[in-house]
Amino acid sequence: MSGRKLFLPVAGVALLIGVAACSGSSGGPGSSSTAAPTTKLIIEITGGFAYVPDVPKRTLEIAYLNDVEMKDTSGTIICAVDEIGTELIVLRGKIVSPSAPPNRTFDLDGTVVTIPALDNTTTPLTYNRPIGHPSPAKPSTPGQWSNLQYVPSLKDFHANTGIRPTWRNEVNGRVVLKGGNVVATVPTDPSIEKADFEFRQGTTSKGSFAVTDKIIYTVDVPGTAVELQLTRSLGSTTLKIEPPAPGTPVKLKLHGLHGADAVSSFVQGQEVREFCAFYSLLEPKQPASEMVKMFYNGPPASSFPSGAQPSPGYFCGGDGF
Amino acid sequence: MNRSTISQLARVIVIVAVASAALSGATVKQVHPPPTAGGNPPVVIAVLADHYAAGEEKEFDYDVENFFNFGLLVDGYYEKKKNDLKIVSIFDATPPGQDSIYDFKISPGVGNCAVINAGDAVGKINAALGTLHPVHTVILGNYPYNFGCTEGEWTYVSVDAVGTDVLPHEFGHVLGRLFDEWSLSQHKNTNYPKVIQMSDTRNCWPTRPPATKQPHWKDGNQFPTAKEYPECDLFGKRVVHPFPYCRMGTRNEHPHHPAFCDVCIAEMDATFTYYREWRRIMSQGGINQTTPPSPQASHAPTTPPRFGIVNAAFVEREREREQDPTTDPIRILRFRVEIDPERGSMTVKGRTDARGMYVPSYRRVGRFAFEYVVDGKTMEIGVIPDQVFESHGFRGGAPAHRASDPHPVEVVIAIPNEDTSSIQTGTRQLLLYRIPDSVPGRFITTDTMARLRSMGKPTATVSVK
Repeated sequence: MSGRKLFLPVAGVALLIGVAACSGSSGGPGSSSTAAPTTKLIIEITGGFAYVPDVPKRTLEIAYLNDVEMKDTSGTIICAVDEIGTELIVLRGKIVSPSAPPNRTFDLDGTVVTIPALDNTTTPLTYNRPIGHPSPAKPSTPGQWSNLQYVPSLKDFHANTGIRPTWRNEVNGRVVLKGGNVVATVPTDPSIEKADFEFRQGTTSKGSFAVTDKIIYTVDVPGTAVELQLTRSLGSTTLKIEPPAPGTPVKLKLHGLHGADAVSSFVQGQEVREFCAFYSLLEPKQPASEMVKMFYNGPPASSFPSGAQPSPGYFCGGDGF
Repeated sequence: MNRSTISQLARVIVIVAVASAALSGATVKQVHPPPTAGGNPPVVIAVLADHYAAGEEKEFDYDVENFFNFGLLVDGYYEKKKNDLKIVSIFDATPPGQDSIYDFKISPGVGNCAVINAGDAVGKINAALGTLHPVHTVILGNYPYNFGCTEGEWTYVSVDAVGTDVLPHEFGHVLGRLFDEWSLSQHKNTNYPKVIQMSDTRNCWPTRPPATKQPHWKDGNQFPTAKEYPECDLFGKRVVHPFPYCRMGTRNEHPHHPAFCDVCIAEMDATFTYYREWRRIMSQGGINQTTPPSPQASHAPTTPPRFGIVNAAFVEREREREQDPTTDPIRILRFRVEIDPERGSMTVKGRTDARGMYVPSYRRVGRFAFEYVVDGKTMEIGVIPDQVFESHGFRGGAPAHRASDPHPVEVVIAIPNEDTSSIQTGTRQLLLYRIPDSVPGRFITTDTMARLRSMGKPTATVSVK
């Protein structure tokens, strides 16, 4: 499935609201003669992931789903989404160990990624994601996209629901982030930046607003390098990355691969079918009639030059739990 | 001076030529191969920075590394061709408050491109190239988006497309002139309207008469598992492609099939071989080309242009030369012309002097042929690739990109051993001909051109100075 994201708070609404921004502290390596060295880590996250924050534990877990097939009580398939894959790409930094793949890209199939150096961090996890739809519904400036409400949340549509406690055993893998700051940013498709999406429950509109498929996580990691632990069923590997130059950040990209069928470019009113996949993690289970669907509401076709295809291409937003 | 010394000197000349290629103020770097490696790979790709601030040159360098050193050049196919590829980056900062130094604008474009030429992009690109003569130009846009767009001589890639297969796929178009292997939704039930020459060895094949011959991939033993799968070149009916999975196709179980199919590999291989050995290919085929460029030392730029018919001695000398990695660059005049494929009209928009390895465009990959005539005498001929008239937007992954209908576009017609001074004397003309489907052949030749002349007038004739 492409572009999955959704924000569902594990610990309840109150825990999601009003956490101050700003990851605080520290500069890059060698920034202070007295402070312990830290390395700034920036992770760009694009694609359709389930975001699961837990503020008391200071963690944000980013889950990539397995293939999803959901049926109603009559056995009719109401949601079918193929998982394609998730990659971690080193955009900035020197891979010290293990020996780097030539394209500096790691397949995260079935992998749990952690950052051991952050296990004991006291740095808070900071983000701003109150329940509800974003305002303005469509950002008019790049800065307005930082609002994490532009990553939709099933919680917004279904009160008294949450992510199933067994979710970690049901997803393909996850990245566990501790401390640091999380912001949303402009979608990876400039056409999506100009569009919005209508959410409908049956024929009832639940609101229209812009959606992004990209967030950015920033944290200062103790030490002069960033070490990621990649754990699979057959063992684990420690990926050690040094900054490309002193005082510069290590930059990674967590990339959800897109697997939509041919010619999946949106047309006006087209459903973003992958969005239903997040219902597979929601508890209590929602009947098909209650499921909220997401529909593209793009710029009018007349705004495109003659001969053009009014399509922004595929898009998959995520969901916060 | 022994051969080694000459070789080293030639390398220095090449490096200096590259370093002085672009506009003053820009930083030019040979990214691949390392400048000290020598050689003269024939497939030159220029990479321009756009929307980078003055202090972001290092960021641009990292992005170039990601797209090329850790991207295209380690790709399963292109890695094998890295000795034929030269990547040259040019950094020039975009002033604050300005979207682009090349007049690009992020906006829904032609096809599903996410960027448009909002001014004189091709002219500004050519100015930035200075004396470089690339086969293709990639503009890296420092925007947080994931898209690529190819139109004419340029591909615009936004930096967030890193990690996708945008460039490997797009280079299948711009180098191998390969077709997309799928259909647009609106063309799913539409018969293929074009004619692909029976001698065409690319990856699409029309099945309707008169192309009743079976596709080349089923004619012989070279591709024993190839079949005929429906859809190709963005149409659904009466056109087929050879394999279910290919980098030029879609609907794959993986984000986008990460490799070319065997037929596309063969065509890409033929392309790289042509770039390296076009003289030998043309002469071995018994094709008497009119105007292969005479070998000419790089340090003799004022030598008047010399043209001639290939003769045996010349060919032998050229064979040696092709195997010599220190081949000198020659003078090349790059005419920038706008061609309207519907009307067959042509307008000269400008010209720039360049130096580099010249590879003529004799491959029959388009419906228009050009002829360069000096004082009534044909000095060069070539083909305008059809694909330059379509714009492709692409984001990597499985979903098909779309393409625009053919539309007027600016392209470069390169003429060897000419420069802006040498064309001031005599009468020089560029002529454009439509190549009828009935004219056979994989290459444009003197015979082909004579036949075109006999069949009718050029669609456009312009005097050039």
